Amino acid sequence: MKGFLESFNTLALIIYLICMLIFISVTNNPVVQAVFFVSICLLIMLADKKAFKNALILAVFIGIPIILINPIVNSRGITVLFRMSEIPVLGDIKITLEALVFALMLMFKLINTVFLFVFFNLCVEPDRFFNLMAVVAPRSAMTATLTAKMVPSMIESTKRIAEVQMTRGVQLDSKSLLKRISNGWPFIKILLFSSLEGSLQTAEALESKGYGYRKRSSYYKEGFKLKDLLIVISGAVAILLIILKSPRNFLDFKFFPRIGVVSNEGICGYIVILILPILVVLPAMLGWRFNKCRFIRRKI
Amino acid sequence: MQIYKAENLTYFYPDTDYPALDGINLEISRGEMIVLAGHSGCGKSTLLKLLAGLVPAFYGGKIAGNAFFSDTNILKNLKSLAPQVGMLFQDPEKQLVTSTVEREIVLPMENIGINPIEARKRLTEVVCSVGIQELAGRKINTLSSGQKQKVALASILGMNPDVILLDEPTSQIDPISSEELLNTVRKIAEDTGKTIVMAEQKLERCLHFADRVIAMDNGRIVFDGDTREYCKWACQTGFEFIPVIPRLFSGMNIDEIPITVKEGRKMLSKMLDREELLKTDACVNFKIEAKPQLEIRIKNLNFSYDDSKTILKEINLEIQKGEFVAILGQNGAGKTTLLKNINGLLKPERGIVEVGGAPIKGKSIYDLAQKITYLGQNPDDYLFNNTVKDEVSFTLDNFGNEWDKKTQELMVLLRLDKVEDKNPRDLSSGQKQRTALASVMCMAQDIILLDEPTRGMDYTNKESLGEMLLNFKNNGTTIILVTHDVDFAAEYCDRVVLMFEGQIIGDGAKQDILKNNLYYSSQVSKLFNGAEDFVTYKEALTHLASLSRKPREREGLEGL
Repeated sequence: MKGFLESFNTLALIIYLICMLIFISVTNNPVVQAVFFVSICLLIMLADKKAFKNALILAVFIGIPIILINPIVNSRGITVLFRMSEIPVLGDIKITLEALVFALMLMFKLINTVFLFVFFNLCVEPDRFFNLMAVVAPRSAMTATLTAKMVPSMIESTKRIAEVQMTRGVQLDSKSLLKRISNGWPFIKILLFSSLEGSLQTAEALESKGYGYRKRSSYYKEGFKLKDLLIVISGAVAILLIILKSPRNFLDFKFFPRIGVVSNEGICGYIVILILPILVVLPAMLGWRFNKCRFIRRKI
Repeated sequence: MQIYKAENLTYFYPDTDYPALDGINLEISRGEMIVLAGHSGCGKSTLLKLLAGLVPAFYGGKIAGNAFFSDTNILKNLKSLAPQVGMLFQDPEKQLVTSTVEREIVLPMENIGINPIEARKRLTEVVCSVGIQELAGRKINTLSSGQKQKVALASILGMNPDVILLDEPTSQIDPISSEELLNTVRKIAEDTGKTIVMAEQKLERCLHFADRVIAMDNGRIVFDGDTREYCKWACQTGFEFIPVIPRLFSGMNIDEIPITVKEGRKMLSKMLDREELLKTDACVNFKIEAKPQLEIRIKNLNFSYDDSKTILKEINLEIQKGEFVAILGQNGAGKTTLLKNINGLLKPERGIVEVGGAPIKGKSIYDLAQKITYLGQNPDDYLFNNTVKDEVSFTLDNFGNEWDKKTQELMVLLRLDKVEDKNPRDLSSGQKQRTALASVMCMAQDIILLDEPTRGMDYTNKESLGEMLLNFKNNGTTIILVTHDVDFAAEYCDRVVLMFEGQIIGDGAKQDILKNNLYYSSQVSKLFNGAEDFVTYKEALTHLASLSRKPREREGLEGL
């Protein structure tokens, strides 16, 4: 499946990504966000199971702080679930159902955003993105490439630097958190120095390879096929739903002071919830189900 | 036909008050193969960057004089001279940008706007000419350093430049890959007639196919001429950058100094008959003496990372106190893993490691670091403090110790006392390495473990490192050195351990291991092919000198 997803046109995938990002950022409906979450999970799972596992771990790290902190600091809402008094620094704490649902919606929103990028990363190799960007914005493409190269190089260096610093008596496994943090300081400095020096060398090598010398040619031509058109359409439909909902509010959700829907046109909301998974999972569906039909496979 | 011309060129990097290039006058003709020689920091890389158009365009700084490439004034052009000039850098990791071999080779062609049909043709050509057909479909992160360097060379060739500049291209790669890469460079020079300028430390690998040598010192050109003239000049002036073979013959009264091992052998056979060479009583047996005190004992050691392939298989090794041991072997043989099992950075899967008579099992890295010094491959991984003194004090503080007389003596011994107040990151590569060594040795001087310490080092720094290690050895320190540098191991170590695929396949006195080895053999042992116990320059020199003292005078040897 990953191979099929990698065959999409980079530009089509970028359009799809942008449309979906707009959709989730302007939709404040927890049900829609939850449906989107399930759909994007399915999409990533179909693309790469290992990546899905890692993404779920990431989701836990993103989600738990939001669910824990937001209801504590947000005391709006009238349905009180839990109350604590005279907590140091925080004072009286009131946890409301409304704040909890709002936190849930925020959590899904953030995770969905991250998962969209995870999916994009699975489909588009950095090289393809660089090739596309280098035509439009060469300097930004170079900066993005250097940054992208810097992160794995830092990860690779981490273990090596930790080892040599331990032989100098740096106790990175100290039981005291404070000690671990203070011991980590040299570590960060070395990583930063080495990575910056490395980036400078890469930039110099790129310059010597004629980067920015003249208008680039493109060795790898990416065709625009039916499947690319279909995912662009699915993105466009998501935007269309946003445009349609604006005057009629059928996707809007009221959190405070009491949870409730804004519009009476509930049927439109149900339709969106039914359509949404299809729009989100479409790239995988094209490769999974429709690909079994020889005719469609040829066409897409 | 002239391709480069520099007139009275002086260049200062930004924020420096000493010139990186000082009064350079140079002319380079099309099709020449030139080797740049000189110690680290003498201006070789800066000169290459100037020839590539990167200096001053990329770095800034102050420049005076004139420099021309064909009809282009480099100082007015202020941009890289690609695609006419391609440059290969030292570090293969840092110069590759994309994630696959094919994309990396195509990238410069796309940068200079070559159409896809022509690019396809060039891609096929360069892949074949560099001999990386089997790598074409591979991801960059699956390649070894040597393979990466070949890919970087192929990507430059794709631009079809008139000039190829190589900045110490073999300094970060193993000897087999180095040889392959330099053979490719030689083939390109001979077949295509491209102009090649290469800075290189391992002169024994490239002098024989160079047309001309330019020697540099302190930013100045101190010699510019033919290879054999260079050897003579270097011998006469004491310029250290000269391979072992010409150095050995330099004191003899001969017209043509041999450059390669083959030429050296021919010369020797002209001067001496083989029987005499082998039977001479001047051969000294340099067998190691049995030392009474066992320092390191490794028994049935096995190790693997994450239950995958076994890296170390049934290693049994005993090292005596005060021994200087070199561990040689190809990449991935398990040399570094063995060192890390000795200092506790890795835990053996099975087997025992004993240091000073006690097993290290259960001891922390912190405890072991007070007895064992470990110096990794990259000195930059150690350095982050503002001064050299702070760097050493940092380790002392970590162990609750203070700067004392012994520390000061160590600084003197490592020749760091004069640069104590300098920022370690601003020092030369040799000084950086000595600072890293001081930062670990200030706590432990019983055992020193060094991982590839001579990588990227020039002759002078290697010699000074070797002498320094011998000094420690004479004070009773046990030294284990992992290296690809056979000549360094031959010159300074007592004993050689050969590893292959996680096993020890050879262990003994250096003369026994290196004398008849097909690959792991020093220049001198290759020269005296078959003669007993000659592996170092000093031994060979002693032997030749003793022969010259014999009654029957021989042509050539008289001068020794």
